[in-house]
Amino acid sequence: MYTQGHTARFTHFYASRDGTSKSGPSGEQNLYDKVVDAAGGGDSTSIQTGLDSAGDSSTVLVKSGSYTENINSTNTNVKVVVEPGTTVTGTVTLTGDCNTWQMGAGGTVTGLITLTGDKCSYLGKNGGALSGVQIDGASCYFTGGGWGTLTDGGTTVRGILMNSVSADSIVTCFSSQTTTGGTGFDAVVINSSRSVCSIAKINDSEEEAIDMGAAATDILVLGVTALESDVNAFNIQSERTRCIGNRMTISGGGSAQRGILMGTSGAGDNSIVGACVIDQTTGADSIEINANTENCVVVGNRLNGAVDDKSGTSTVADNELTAF
Amino acid sequence: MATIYDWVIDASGANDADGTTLASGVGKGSVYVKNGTYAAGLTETNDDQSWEFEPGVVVQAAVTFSGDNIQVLFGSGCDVQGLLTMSGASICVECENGCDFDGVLMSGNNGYFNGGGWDSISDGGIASLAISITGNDAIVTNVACQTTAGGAGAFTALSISGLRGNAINIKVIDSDNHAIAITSTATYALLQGCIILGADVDGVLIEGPRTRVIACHVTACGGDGISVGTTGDNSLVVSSITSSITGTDILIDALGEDCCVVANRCVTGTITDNSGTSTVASNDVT
Repeated sequence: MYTQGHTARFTHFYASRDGTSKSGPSGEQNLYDKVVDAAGGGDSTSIQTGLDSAGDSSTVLVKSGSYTENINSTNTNVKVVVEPGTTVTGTVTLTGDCNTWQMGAGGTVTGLITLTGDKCSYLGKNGGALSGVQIDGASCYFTGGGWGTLTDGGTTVRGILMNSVSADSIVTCFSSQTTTGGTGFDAVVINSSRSVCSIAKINDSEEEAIDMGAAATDILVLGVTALESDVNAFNIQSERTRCIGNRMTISGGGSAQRGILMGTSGAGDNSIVGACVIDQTTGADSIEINANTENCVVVGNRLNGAVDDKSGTSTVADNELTAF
Repeated sequence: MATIYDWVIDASGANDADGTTLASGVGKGSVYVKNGTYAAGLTETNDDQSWEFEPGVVVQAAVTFSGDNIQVLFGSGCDVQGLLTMSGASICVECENGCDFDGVLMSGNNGYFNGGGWDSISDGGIASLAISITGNDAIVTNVACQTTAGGAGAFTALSISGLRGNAINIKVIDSDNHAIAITSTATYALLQGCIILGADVDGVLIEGPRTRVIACHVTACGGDGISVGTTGDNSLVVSSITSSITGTDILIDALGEDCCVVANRCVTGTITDNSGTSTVASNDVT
């Protein structure tokens, strides 16, 4: 059993599986309220059981192993620390507010990860294999901890879906993809206002690489690399969207797909400023600004094709348009 | 209640630790390294490992992570007095501020290094590059770096030669060579929010095609501020500032074609486009 005692303030004693006592980190007491170990050495062998018994404002350590269960953390202020190489066969849902799921390097979750509570965090440590992430809570944070973490929606879900209720959320440092050749699933969907998607890599997408919905405003997409998508790389239906320093390529999809399409929703005031490299291969315009999408700014980009400004009110200048 | 590490290392041998050397923790799963000085380094060859170094740990040798999917946390003030090598795939190294490295090599794909603030520094000195990214799809962020200026010009502070490398919020204090070099093999690199305080040669040398330089500040360079070289075609330099540059603020080589240099502030006052095919517009060169 994992037990602990204290000989002095900030000194942590515990006994491991072999029964020998060891001193853990100083400066902190009571690091974990519950330990989950599939091998049987912890407080439980089930993550859900560990969470239920830990309660609010608790910390749970999940030892490396394989866990087959659907997990729902309904308490608040819970931090789950999962060791590297762990596999969860099932879904992970953080329903309570202020939940944090720290996934160890190389971790796998075979089902959908859903951040439903507000102010929840998913902290990847690189090398993760995920099967879709959905953010339904406000002010949430998702990081893959590097482009080695891949969320793959396959043919059933988006790689990352930020719903409209997830305003003020951030997703960063991850790879995403869906399976090309079907219909309906983008690698990343942002329907939430004031949200940020940065330093992401889109390997491929069945639809747009990033789809920004009409209900959202003030999205920032920064430093994204989109290697391939079946449809337009970025579909911007949102208002006051800022796209800076992104790079995108389109191939494989239908004809006349664009690097960036600013769509028909009537939203406008978008800014495509600064070092977007658009290398589309289907012969369409690099950027199309719909007639309803007024007062946009498209400046300082390296584009393979033209900018088609149907708005008549946008500023399009100082772009380098030579074909690659 | 419980707290668990699979292996605890304490150089002093106190606290009933499992080992006194870093090598003893290789392949042990989750490893905690107590504060102390360790004369020998480690080479972690196993996958799916976790290493956590207590604040103030001193390692007087090289540290290598060659397994895949390894996560590492260096507590504030850790000092690695040898090269830190991240050669496995998907290595995640996170630091608390104030860490010190004598060079970082990110040779594995999908590497991630976060210094935790600009008081963390990788100093190549006169012996090595400060940070070298040779793997693909790497991210390095929130760290300072330097090499010793005034030497033989052998060591750039930050070199990116892997595909799609990302350098975000990097502070280059000084460099014996270029501050940041994007080599010809490094297509689609991204430099964002970097500040360069000095270099013996160029501030940023772009030899990698389709590089994006955004919102960087380059000053006090003995060569050019931002130089697009013979293989740096189709690159962009946007919203950046150059000042106190001995050479040219922004220079585009004749073969560095179809670049886009827009909305930059060049205090020294010169942008030279030798390509004849690039877009150079809306820059302030007063």
